Amino acid sequence: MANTLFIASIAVIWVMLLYNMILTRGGYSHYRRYRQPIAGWKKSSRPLPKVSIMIPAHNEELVLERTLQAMVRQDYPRHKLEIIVINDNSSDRTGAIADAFATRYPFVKVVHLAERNAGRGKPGALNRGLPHATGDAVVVYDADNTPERRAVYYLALALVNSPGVGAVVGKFRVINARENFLTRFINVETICFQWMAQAGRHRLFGITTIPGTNFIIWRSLLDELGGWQEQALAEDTELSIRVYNAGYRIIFFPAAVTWEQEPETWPVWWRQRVRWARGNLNVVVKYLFRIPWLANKRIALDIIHLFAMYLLFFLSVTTSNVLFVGNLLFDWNLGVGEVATVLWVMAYALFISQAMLALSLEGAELNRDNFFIVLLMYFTYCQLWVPVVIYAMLAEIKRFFLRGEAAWYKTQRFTRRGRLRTHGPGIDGVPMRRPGA
Amino acid sequence: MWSRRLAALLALLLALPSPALAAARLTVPEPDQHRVVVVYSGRAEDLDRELRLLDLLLGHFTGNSLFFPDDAVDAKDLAGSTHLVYFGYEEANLPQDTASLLAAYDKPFLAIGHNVEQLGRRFAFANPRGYGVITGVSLAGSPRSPVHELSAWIGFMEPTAGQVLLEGWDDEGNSYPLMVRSGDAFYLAISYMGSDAYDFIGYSLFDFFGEPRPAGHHAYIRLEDIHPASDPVLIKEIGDYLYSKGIPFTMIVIPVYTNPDTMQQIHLHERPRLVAVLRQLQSQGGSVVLHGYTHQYRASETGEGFEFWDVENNTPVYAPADEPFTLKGPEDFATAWQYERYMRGLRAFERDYTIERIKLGNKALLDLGLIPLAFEAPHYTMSQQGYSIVAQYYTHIFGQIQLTDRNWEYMSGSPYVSRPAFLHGLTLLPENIGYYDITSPTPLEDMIRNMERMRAIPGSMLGMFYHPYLGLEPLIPVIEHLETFPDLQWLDLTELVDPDLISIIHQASLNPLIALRIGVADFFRSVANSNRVQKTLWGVTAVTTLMVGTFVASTLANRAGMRRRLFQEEPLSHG
Repeated sequence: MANTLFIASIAVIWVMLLYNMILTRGGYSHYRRYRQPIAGWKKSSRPLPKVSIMIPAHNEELVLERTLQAMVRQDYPRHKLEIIVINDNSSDRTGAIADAFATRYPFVKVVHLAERNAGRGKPGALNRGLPHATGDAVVVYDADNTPERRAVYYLALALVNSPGVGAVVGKFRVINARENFLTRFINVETICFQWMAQAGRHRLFGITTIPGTNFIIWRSLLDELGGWQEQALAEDTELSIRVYNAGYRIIFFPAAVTWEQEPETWPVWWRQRVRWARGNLNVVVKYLFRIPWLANKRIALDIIHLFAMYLLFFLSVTTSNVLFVGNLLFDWNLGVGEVATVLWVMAYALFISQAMLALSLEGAELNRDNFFIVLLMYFTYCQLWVPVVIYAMLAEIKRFFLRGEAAWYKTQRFTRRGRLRTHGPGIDGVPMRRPGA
Repeated sequence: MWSRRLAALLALLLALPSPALAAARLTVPEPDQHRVVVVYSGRAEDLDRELRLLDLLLGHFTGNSLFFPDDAVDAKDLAGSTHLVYFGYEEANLPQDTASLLAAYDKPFLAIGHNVEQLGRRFAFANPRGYGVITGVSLAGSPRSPVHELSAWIGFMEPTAGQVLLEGWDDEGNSYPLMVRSGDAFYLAISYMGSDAYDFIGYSLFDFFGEPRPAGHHAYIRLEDIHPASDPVLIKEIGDYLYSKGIPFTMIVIPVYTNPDTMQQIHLHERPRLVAVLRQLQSQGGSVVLHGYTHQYRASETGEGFEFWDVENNTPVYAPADEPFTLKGPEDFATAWQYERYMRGLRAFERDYTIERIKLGNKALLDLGLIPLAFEAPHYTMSQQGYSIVAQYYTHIFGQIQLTDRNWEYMSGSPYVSRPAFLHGLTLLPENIGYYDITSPTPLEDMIRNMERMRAIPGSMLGMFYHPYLGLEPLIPVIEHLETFPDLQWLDLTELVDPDLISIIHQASLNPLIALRIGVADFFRSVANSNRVQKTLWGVTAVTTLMVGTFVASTLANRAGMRRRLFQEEPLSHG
């Protein structure tokens, strides 16, 4: 019995790891090719669309100024640019800062929301800002983002030159990576997520999910979909699925880069990750049995992946850990032999090599410090994924039985030299993988 | 080669009509056909010795016996077994679970010694009443052999209840059954192994394992303690004599001689005449066997001293030869942990010392074109760890086996070739006859007496050795007496050990590259032998390894590419 369970869990774990290996190859291939079409697009006659940048902001006085500085410096034709700050019932100077920019720059608009409804959060603010947008395409940034000067340009360039594409997602990087161990871990995680999960899925399966910031989407498509879902904890995953279901694709275009700040303390990180995990569990429960009715079967792969990740993989990892420890203590005679140990070592080697490859795509990130961070995070940071999922599951079960509302917790800001925001829930926005046995 | 095979085939064909005449085999089949579980009762310190003696007997039939104390065996342990042995070394009340487990066993079951009444109805025929003293034993229907006095359970059975395999006799001529079978249940009425009945018990096990009883005998003769100071003329004379009689023989070689007075060493390569003789004899079918590197430790003479045992302290070799050594006990340490660490250090020293000596010995011989096909421990003394190390370099070991690490004097051979579990795969080619001992007033008679003792054990091995410095003369009557044995077959080591294969193993131990190649080949063989799940997992491992390789390669390529770009961009930024 123990043996069968052990083998089954190893099987699930390794199917997931093999999928990840394939994604890594695909991501690397995307890295080598994504720049190729740029020259052709620049010469193409398609005009850039008018773009509305939407920035939801709730009590962001400490970060908003720098964010807006980066926005107004965007290398994009001024007559085709519109920046909308959605001041979501802030009690600090957020509104004043935004207004100051609006008076100096005619293309900056501020939408003040008088009351903030509990549980609406970011999707609610975006929905209320949307009617004020006049662009053909909408770009969304979180309030702590510092996009590079050509970020919006690249997003728009890719969108306008890719027929059948409803949205384009750019790359985000961590600006406070060197702050402490936690942000170093998140930095590595972020780079791996983008180059393996996003780039890999895009290259191999034509799927990308919207990570909540630094993406562009056709206004007409947003209208067709009815905007953001306000009940969803993972409103961006949700939106991604609906985009595919409407017959459009989303592509990942890493030339558009934004820099954002990540949680610097563990409690903040914990709340954020629990929210993502709950959001993703929600998506699984909501869509898993609707797969046969999805118009675009591509995205089904992603829902299956989420299911595998949050239920199968999670159970397998937990089972194999319990059995592994139990076997050490009680000698259950698991008849897999030394190959289980070898596989365990290989899982670690795989993790290291994949992470180092992803880091090497960011040039200077391939350094000795990060190597040690990678060595360490397998046994520390990545393991936290298990309690996060357990906690999220319990919370979701509780909510299901008590019929509670999904509360949208805002990620806490820090009042140090910078502060931060985070990207929204991405499909793989969790520490990446776990050991075999 | 062809003629030898043809002869073997003919012998086989001739033997077929009367299987009773078949000699005992010289190799223990691999993989093991029999899987024996031994359950034992007893707490005495010398129980390990007794279990190893039992293992040496079982080792003729299987190399894979598992041993469990009576309070630590469960149904899972018995599940895959083909034979069960219960060894009641001491009187004990079996744990209830164990008693019912053993009573429910339905395959061949041998009970030894005490507590047989607790083993269920299968052993109802065995009803021992009390100790008696036996001075002679005989296989059923064979003449009686005198033995040293041994005590056994006597008067134990209903005469009609079973078939007597082994009988004991007291001084008054009364006979008592010692080993009896009833169906698949066997009972041995002696509660210990280390008696003169040992070899007879070994013979009775053929019935227990359901194998044809052997007949005839095997024999070997070793030319012992050949070292660089040996006289090549005498060796050649004896070798030529044996060759002329068609007798395969082994040359037990020590590559380095140490003069006890001057401590000066002579190496084998410094004695080209001797080397030439050994090589010639090797080409004529004589087999070379490594007998340690110097056959001495501390200030003893080669051939006299022990090499893998510190006989002064009666411990394994735990310290360099030039350092005085006294073994400390647990009482000399503040904590058990410190004592454990101390012992680990000692064992590590012994391991390194043993490995080095074996490697040096192998190299010294191989460099001279002599291929050591097997190993023999000087004075047969070696620790259990020592055997595990020898097993990494050799498949066969000559002589007798030291049974415990407490006292070198407890050693034993076996009546038949044996691959017991505790020798880690080594096959023992046992010596039972002794040697021409000139310190005895009757050296020839001693040997003949031993040969006659073994004559009573059908199929047994007549292993003996002879020191060539005695000259040819004394050997001739020994060989002549052996020739009185009908159906005697001489053991030819080259038929058991492939010289090419063993020399590759030795080379490998000396050359890491070859070792790697063999290791890789071994690995693939073990993968091929694994089950389907394991094979799949190895496949996954292979794929992962490949992918990790490409990831590392891509990473390194990117790193190089990044540097190149940096250097390219630099001039541009100036421009």
